[in-house]
Amino acid sequence: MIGEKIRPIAEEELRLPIRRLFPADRYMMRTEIPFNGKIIDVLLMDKKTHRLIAIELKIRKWKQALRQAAVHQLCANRVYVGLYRKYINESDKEFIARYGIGIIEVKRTCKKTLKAVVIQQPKRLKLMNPQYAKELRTYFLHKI
Amino acid sequence: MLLLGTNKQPLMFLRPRNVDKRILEQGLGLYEGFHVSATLADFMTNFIRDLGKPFFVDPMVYVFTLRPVQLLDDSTKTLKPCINVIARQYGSLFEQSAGKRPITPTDLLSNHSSLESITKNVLSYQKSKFAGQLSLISPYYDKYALWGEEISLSIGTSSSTPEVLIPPYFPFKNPTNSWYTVTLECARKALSLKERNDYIFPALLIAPQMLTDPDSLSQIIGDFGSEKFDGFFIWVNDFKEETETPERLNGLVQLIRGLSSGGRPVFKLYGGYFSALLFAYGLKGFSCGLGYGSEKNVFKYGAAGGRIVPKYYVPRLHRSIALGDAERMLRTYPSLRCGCTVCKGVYGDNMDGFMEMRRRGRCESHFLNVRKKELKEIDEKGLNHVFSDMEGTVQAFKGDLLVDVENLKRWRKTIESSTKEIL
Repeated sequence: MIGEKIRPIAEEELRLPIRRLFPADRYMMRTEIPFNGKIIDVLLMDKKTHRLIAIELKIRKWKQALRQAAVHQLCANRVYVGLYRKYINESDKEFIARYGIGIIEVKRTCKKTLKAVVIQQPKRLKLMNPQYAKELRTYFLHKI
Repeated sequence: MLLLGTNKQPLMFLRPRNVDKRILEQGLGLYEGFHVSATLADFMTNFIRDLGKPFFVDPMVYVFTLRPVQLLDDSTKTLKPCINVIARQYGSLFEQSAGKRPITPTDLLSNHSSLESITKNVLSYQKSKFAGQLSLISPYYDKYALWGEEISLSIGTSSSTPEVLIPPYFPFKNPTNSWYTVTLECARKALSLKERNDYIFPALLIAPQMLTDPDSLSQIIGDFGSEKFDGFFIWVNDFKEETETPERLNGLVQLIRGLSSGGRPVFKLYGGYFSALLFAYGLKGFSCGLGYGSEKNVFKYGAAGGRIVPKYYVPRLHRSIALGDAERMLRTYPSLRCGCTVCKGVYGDNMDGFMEMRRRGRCESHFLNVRKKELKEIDEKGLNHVFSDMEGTVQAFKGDLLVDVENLKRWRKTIESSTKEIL
């Protein structure tokens, strides 16, 4: 409706569509995991392969998200930034791709629910330190 | 007296912490002395004295101008013991007001004899704090594995006398502020109380905004420069050299140049690599922590800071960054890796070993090695060489979001514009 005000979206609201994208039957999920002086917003572990996926969520500040996500490349097999569609454009996407980081776009559907879609796959840059990954996997073993 | 003599390199005085004691002992040849607080615990005082390095004592009278709650112990809500000690030493005004109300300029200016006795007490405490039983030095010759080969084992003799004395000083925003008047008056009183072998170095604790006000800077240079002080300390409150504007950085250069124009030493409290560069512009040296503490906000005294998380000093960027950021950067760009003894031993060519830099003392030892090398380079190769290296780094990482080189651009711009002004 014209003139209808849409409530501003909060970063935490991006988690639910991410969970739907990486369903619970295949992935275990933890949030706000400390790593090397930073916090990983969403950390997922594939139940079969134990491979790790780190996702840095941001509504607007994609550069900040990129800087954070770049550090997560040290500990996760795949790293994404999860961004709200409204605030990213093509050149931003190209820039993020240069660093081997994938992009998950979160958008509102016509039913006004939020949906997450992978619009860019991460690259393998061999930045990972297996020791960090080992440390982070313990969050899935000991924490509920 | 190191602060009054001539030196080929900028002097680096360290802020000692209990957790750094082993590094401070083993790296004696990598720094010149200590900047200690009047509130330093006795066991650290003994430790510093036994190392035999030069030192000066920050009297910290400014803490009594802060909110009383900042002087209280978090759990007991009573006056912190270390504050209680200096309050008793400095006189009844401080004893009565500490933890109850902040002192005001009127408290000090209303009675000139009290100003004199306070200044006398403050100077006396600096002289007496380190006096006491001297113990034998244990030089730890067998433990130098962490350090570069060029380290000179400069073990001094036990020292109980501060290099210089600092009169009471207080933070001020500009010279019209009453605290400026109090600082100047205390410094003058200190001159009148000066004894043989005393060297009076007033400290100027200024707001960073003032650095862009040439009139204020001129007045300070005029007021303090016209007195017979032996030298000066400058502390620009909460001044982050890495992110400050070229205008403020330039103001700092002007202040240093103005105060040092008569040949008197000027020393910056809390500084980083930019301070080292200012050696060529009259700055004698600076103080800092081991990879941290290149700035300090006086108004945050007593704030619960928690444990200091180690940061890695990236030599080519001349600043410390979070370990995670550093590792990501060094894995992608091997040219940013460090070849110091510590780094060679911890990660060398295998970046998987970098995580061991988290261990206590590693980042600090690395910092000390690198900083010494930086200071030596400034002396031996000169600023032009340093600038050309900086320019190389700026060009190599231009447009890279993960490697911030803005500080290098700003520093270079500031120093070059200051140099043009001289010519």
